[in-house]
Amino acid sequence: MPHSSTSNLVKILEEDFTGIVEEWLGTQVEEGVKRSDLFSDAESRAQNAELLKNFAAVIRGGMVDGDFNLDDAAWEDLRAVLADVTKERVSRGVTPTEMATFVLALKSPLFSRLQDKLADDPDALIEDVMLVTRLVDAFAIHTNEIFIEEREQIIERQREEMMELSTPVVELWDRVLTLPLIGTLDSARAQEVMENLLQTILERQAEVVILDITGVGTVDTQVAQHLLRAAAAVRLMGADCIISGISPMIAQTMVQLGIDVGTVKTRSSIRTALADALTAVGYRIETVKD
Amino acid sequence: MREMKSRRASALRMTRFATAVSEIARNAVVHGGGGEISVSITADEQYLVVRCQDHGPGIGNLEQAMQDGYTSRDGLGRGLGGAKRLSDTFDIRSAPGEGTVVTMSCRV
Repeated sequence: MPHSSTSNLVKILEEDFTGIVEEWLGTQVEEGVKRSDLFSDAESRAQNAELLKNFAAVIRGGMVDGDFNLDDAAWEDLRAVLADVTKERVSRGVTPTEMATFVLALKSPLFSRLQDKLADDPDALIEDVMLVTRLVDAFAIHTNEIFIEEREQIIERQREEMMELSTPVVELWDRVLTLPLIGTLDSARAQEVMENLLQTILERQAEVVILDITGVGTVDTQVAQHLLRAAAAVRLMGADCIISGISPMIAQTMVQLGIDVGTVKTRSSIRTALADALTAVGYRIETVKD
Repeated sequence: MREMKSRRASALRMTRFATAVSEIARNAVVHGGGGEISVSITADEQYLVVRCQDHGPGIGNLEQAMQDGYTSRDGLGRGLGGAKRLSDTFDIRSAPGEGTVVTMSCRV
């Protein structure tokens, strides 16, 4: 590939900076990705101008022999601005397609200006068009990566929140704790549940712990093993453990799997488990009115 | 599960088969280093078939592995035998170094 020069591109950007920004905005409107419902005209214009300014700056300084590498230090400012704009747009609900089209819309104003300027030199024109294409495509890919990164962070955060939400130890009465388990119980969660539970037993001086699995859909051998281990640990701490919420389906499945719960107390509902627990700590529930 | 529900399979049947699939899928992940699972329905729409394949070390002694109480790690040792009891048909093929394929089905 012949050595391509960026001078034409630099000149275009210097000569008609505002014109390009306006046309870029125009293309976005045409493509239907401007999202005036999410961004005011002034905001969009400021974002585009900021991006283009940084774009112009790196074209002046960040090209090595007419080639570029988006990971170079010289591109850091542009990458940061791209990241900011993308994050801003993600948080306002812009789709990945809209984001990519938004960036790619920059091509057309640059192409038309190059065409005007280099009408007599088709070779140079093609070279510059190719360069602009590569540059703008690289930006679009970069914004897409940021987009996915943002999403992944959100998913990870939600996963952590769910993890915390799903293991609340509740003090039902003096010295009676309950742990309502919901969803699936994998090894990581089982570990978290266990730590949380044992710590709370110590803090609250609990004597009875009810592990309620009403919200657990299936109990396979691993889930059963986690439950039995938790029960054993609770017992080692001197408290009684009752596993409640064993549905008829789960009971039959466990029998067929051949799971032996040993001496762990089990109850079909949390209601009977609670009655047992209160008796164990010396309380009784009485009707005061009939 | 959704497919079974739409075919009005009983809750017990669903729980049992889901547990069996869970056992086998976990084996494939823990021992086989992951693999593929496919779910299909037989042409006569009578059975839901789950096929789980891994490319792990395989099982040397199938007979022993199917026995209750046998475990290669610190599990309960009920997984394979239990999964067989929980499904309507159960077929396991494995050889050392060739991974394991389990095909099981449940009437819907």
